[in-house]
Amino acid sequence: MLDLMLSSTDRELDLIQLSALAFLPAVFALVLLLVPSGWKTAMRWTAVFGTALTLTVGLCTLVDYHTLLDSRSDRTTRSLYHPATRLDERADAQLAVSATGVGSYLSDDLVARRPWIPRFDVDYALGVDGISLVLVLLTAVVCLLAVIASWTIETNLRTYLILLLTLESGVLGAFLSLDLFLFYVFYEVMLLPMYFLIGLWGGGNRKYAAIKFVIYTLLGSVGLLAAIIALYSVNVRDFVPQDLVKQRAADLKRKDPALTDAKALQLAEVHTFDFVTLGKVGRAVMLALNHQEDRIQVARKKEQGTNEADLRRDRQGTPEPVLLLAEGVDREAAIARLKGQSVCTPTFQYVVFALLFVGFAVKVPIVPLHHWLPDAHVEAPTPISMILAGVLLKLGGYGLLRFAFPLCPWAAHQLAWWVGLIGVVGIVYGALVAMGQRDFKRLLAYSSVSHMGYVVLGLASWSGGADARYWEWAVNGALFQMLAHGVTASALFFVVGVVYDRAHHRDLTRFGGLKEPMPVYSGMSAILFFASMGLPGLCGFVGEFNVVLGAWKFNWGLAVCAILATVLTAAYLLWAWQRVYLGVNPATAAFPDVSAREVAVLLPFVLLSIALGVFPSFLVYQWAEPSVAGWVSQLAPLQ
Amino acid sequence: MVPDPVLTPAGLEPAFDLQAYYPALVYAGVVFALAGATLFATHLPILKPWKPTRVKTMPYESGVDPIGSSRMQFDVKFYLIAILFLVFDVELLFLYPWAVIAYADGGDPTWRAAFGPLVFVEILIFLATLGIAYVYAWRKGVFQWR
Amino acid sequence: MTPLSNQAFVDHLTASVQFVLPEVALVGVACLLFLVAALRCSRPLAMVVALLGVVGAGVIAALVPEPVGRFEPSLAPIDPTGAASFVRWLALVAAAVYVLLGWADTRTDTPAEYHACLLVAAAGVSLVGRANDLVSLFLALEMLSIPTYVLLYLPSRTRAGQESAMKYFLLSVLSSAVLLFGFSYLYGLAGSTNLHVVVSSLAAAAPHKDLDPAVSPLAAVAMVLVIAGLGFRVAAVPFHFYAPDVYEGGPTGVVAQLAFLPKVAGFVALARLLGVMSAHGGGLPYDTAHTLIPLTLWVVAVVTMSFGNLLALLQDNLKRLFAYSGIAHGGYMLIGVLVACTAPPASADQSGSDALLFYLLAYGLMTVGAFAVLAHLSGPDRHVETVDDLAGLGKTNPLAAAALAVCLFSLIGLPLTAGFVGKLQLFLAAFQVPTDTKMKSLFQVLTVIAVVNAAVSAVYYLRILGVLYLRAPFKPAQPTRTSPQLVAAVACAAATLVLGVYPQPFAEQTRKAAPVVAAR
Repeated sequence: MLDLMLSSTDRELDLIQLSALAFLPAVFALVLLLVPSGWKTAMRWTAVFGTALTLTVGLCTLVDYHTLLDSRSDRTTRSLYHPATRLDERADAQLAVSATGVGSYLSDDLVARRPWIPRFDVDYALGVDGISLVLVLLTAVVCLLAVIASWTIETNLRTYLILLLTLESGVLGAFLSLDLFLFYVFYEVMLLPMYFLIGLWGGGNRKYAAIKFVIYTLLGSVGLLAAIIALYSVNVRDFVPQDLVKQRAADLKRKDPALTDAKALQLAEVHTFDFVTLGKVGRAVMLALNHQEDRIQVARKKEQGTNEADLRRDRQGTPEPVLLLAEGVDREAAIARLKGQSVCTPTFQYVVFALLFVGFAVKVPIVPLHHWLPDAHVEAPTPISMILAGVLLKLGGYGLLRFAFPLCPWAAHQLAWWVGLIGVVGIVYGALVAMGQRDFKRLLAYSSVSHMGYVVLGLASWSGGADARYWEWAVNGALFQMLAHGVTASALFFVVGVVYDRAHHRDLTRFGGLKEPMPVYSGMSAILFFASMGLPGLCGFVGEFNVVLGAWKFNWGLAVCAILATVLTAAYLLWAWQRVYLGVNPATAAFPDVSAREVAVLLPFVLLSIALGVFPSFLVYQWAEPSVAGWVSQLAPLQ
Repeated sequence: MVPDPVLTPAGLEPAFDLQAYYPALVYAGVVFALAGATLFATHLPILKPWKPTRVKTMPYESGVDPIGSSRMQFDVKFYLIAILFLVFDVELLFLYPWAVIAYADGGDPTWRAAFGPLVFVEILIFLATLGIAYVYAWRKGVFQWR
Repeated sequence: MTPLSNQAFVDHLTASVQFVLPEVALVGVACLLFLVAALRCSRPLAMVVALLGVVGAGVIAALVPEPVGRFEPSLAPIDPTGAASFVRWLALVAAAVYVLLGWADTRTDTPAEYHACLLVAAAGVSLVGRANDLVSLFLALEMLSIPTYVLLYLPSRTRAGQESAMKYFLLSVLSSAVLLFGFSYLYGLAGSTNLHVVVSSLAAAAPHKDLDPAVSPLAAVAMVLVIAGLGFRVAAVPFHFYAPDVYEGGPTGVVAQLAFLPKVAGFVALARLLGVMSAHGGGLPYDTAHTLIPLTLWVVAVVTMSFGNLLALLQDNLKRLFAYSGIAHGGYMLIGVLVACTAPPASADQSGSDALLFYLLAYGLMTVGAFAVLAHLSGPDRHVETVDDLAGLGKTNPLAAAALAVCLFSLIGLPLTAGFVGKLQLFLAAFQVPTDTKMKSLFQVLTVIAVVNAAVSAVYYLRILGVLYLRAPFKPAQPTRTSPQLVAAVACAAATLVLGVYPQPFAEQTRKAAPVVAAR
């Protein structure tokens, strides 16, 4: 009894911690409502405090997560990877607990689950792993610095800060959700604050940019919604704890007493928005479509001490088994049931993958769907550009990594080359177009398109079997590239904001000579420019290098194109640097150097881009990499 | 071919069968033939001598001159009277069968036993509703011939 | 043997009275209001009496038990099971909101008549939910229509108002005639006017069709006529032509009613005639295996939602815009009807009819909320006609703008609003039709079309939103008055959010109200 109570408080702690991470900014947005309307400084400090507190909670979560990894790690290897600490394993354990109400599970597992709308099987499920934590911390840092960068906003300050904090809440919630429905809710919650932030505080053409942003994003989320609906229609009864199926059968009998027990059990269907479960279905479908259904195996009780490794030893010589079906399921019936569903058809897989891909491609943005980005960036105020580039684009990459690939692995594998090609096209196209820009912000917007192309290429570099570690490198690189781009791109948008405050234009041809009046500023921006360019020793290099390394094994042609594109990157960035900072220009001679507040924003970015470049492994990889390894270890053996 | 019978609450009944309706077709044929014959006959010179005058060539030989505005206005009080007439007329129409069925000697005793009192109350409610309509019309000045 | 000699039938007939007591109360209060109108009646008095009437009917509905123990649906003219009480509560709540909204429309000398007609219309909607007989169903539908003619005419004596009243009257009468024509076929086929008997005898006759699919084309003809007649009420394309004109000319409070009440009545009646939404449904007479009626509904649904959304894109007049938006939402709701009338297996988690009921609730809240804001804003001194008239409302009138914004978010279908949950339910229901359904792939196509439509609709709603918040106001801020309309608008917006964040209790209610009809 005491045990049960203790364990339930443990679960509460996870719930509270993760909910706090997601909702602290929103709570502070509510607090802002209470600040008297004249007290602008108080509002700003409230917002700073709120975002800083969120960052603190994020760092605490990092410590917890590291402890979790450490507690399970095998001391003999350097890696902290252990199957039990994978997000899906933890979420599964949690699901088993919530299905029965009792049971042993990993306490402090950083996964929380509560029923929200049981009518549609929607759970309020939050969880964190290395992949999401990287982006959560990035979000928290960028939002904190964006609030500091917003010090000069005067009109409707309260509304502005409330919207900004709501936006942060939406992004954090999306990164933490374990439930597709919840993810979609958070994903859409971000839409409106962004619309108003661009539409109300933007530049001259703000209405056009705001509506364009919303329409493109809605287009993407429509695809996403359609995919979610399709996935929810899948009957996942063989992939969830069987107690749940028995409950459904009992419900059916209550509705229609004429049913026999056996018939009810046979008719019972379970639908879910839980993407861990849906991922299992996706993997089973991949095996089935590749005619390897004999590898689909039933999970055994954990107490028996059998895990995948033991099972592999038992079945020497037979194909490697994949434990997908839930404990106590009749394997033959389950496979027959799976094959009878429309989810197990190539069309379904292709269509759902395409919908998810397009949905997230809009956010990344991937080339034919990138058109909203330059306009949104040009019109948005500086801090919003920072968030847009630093955080919102990452949601696209995160979505591809977390949803599109694991939920439809078969289609992803079939289309991997095309996805990689789209990534490379983005890299090259973004760089070429960036070279032709006169507007500083537009140049950076296209550089974002180019840099995010590496993320797509890294994810798509599907190499299975013995080459799986190449794919692991590439995915690690993609994750790191998101982090690095988040740091450098938001920093560079702030760099533009600083000079815009002084010159009141962003025309690259009319700048020049900033090095003389603003030495500190120029020095800091030089570091950021070089970081963005991918100079070794700075953060941009690590991600690109890893991606290209992994992509080489996948397809050397794509890798070569990606490498050559770095020359273009260097060209447009150096050219821009030259046009802004070098030379002599009387128009800029009287500009004051950066203020203390501006340094407070720039310095963390500069330090981060150096530190991430020098200690990528210590700072990020050691705790992020196990999750990526887990991710790859699930998908790579399916091929 | 005779289609399968249809199951109704009164038991199996023959399904709709178009063939059974052939008298309607015969009837329609006779109607069309008669109408056509009449039209044809009017153009026979024996039956229709042609001696036109101005009045004769008008669309209607008698009555009002049809050329002119068709928007003739009637006083609104005529409409009101017409509607009020409906109030009383429909009332009577409804009361008559009620009285005959519910209380005439030849009425159905089962019916009367089951529904007699209920229907009486219902008729009273009906009359009261009409009464309200009457009071409403009266207070709104419908009965004043202005 | 006459039915009257059947004692059980007589018992059911006399027992029916207790199932309609709240409606009787509503009509009684309406009569009282007419009497009061005959003397002299002030605006507040009429409103208070009407509100008391609605509350009284609600109290009766809540307190008076409805014994359904020995209830035999093939005999009773009134069926209190299934969706009946859900529809009744929907009608009562809507009536209360409309009474508040009526404040704007009763500046003329006829406030009591206005509210009396309103109560009768609400009683009509409530009766549609429980009519179990073609006759009582038709009467209930007319109880909704006839007061609406008066309501359209009463507040506005303008030319546009008269035109709209006349247009609605003529077309509504036409649609009633078509509906009756369809009813006559149904009666001819089943030999009874009892809805349950009609449905179950049509369903029982269906197996014959496998042998000879042409046996009962009359059943299909009857249903096509019924769809046409009810299509007018729910403003389904191609029976939607009246809607924009009538909305544009009609008084705002009445238009708010017109946008919602006929939809409830029409959809519930259609669902009942198709054999769903009743606890005692006797099978599905029009499933995909046996008739083309589902295909007809499919086409009507697709055309309705696409047409409504595309034409709404072109509108500048707010009421016309909402008319087309209402048409489009009617198209979404047709999905619910369509899914419900195809055979759902016992295990289907999402049945079309409970999705439909939930969406009706959500749609009512968001649309009536939006019209309430319009009613609040327009007055004798200020006319809100076009989208541009709302410019800068976010600054001058923050509360009203916020309420309108919430309703618009919900109409777009953004998460955390009722509209999203409703749309999601409908789409899920359409996507989850069982694999052995004949038109399975068509249902998936329908879902995709609907989702795309939802995205298209965002464009015109966002346009209003942009005007609300991103444009400078034309006039300086006026002192904001609180009015009953504003109360109604804020209540609707708040309820929209509640339904969006925590839909569970309401979803349970709709599920209870829409029992799954077992497949044959």
